[in-house]
Amino acid sequence: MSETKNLINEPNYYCSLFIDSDVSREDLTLNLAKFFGVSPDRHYLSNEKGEVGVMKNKDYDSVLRKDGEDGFLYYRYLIEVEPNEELGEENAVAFVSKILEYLWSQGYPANAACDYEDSLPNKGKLIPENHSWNEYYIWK
Amino acid sequence: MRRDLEGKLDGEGIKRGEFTEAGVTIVAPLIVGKVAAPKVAPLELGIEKMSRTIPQGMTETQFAEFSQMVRNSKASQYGTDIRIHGSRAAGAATKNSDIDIAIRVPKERFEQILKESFKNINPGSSKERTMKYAIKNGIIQRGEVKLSNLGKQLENKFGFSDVDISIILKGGEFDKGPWIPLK
Repeated sequence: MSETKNLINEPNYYCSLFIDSDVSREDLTLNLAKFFGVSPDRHYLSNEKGEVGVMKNKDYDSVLRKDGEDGFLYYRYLIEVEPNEELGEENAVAFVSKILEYLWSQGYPANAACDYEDSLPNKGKLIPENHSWNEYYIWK
Repeated sequence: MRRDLEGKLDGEGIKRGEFTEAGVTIVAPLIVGKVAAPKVAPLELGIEKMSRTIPQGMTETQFAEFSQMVRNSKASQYGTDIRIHGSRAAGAATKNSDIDIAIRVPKERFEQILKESFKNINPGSSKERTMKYAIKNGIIQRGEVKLSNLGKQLENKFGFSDVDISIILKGGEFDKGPWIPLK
């Protein structure tokens, strides 16, 4: 093994979506499955544009999740979004944007962490301001 | 796989038990003397934790296959010191427990992987916050190093509910055993 080998030369479209919700993992997965129009393979969903995995966030903390701008790191779920590399950046951003907007539309506070988060709706931050439950989640 | 266990406990009694993949099961006490030894499972589980060589819930053959799959994957490009930790290494897992894979790397390697995984960072972004968390705690999650697909493959093949894969900084916050090195 080469200890100095650069491992990540390919485009990095991977995006983490942190979800602040106490619904069950199954319900969250099934809800996303409606958006994808496919049946879930356990907690994974995929279509021609990419794949998502609905994962439990191992760092989940019911107190820290409300802790200002770092709170998202402690949300209950982490959705791993892996757009297909063939999409190119523009389409990858569109793919993630649609997932994010769908989650928001379903009432799930979601926060994106990825290389292109500034290109996402509301810069990938939690929720758009026009959502009615905004006040509860305003960052301190 | 199981084998019998006999031994003296507290100088008062003898217990017969079994080591199984799931842990130690006391089958029946064989009382010698006036009083049977009190609860002995914690002591025996302690020995079990230290001597475990395959993750709880796996057979030796499965673990060999599991190890082979991980070593033949992109995971081994990050480092060769790959171990199982968490509840399945400790012998404290339940049926639905995750299996945790740690790729332990020294500081220089950790920093290199970090640099490659977080190379397009905007100040104040959520991605930057995840990077700072990784630095602070010495852990990089599987998605950041493109190992999610390996996790999924392992879940499907071996039936685990989740396979957690992390790059762990040696000496860092998460560099804690008990460990079971891959075969």
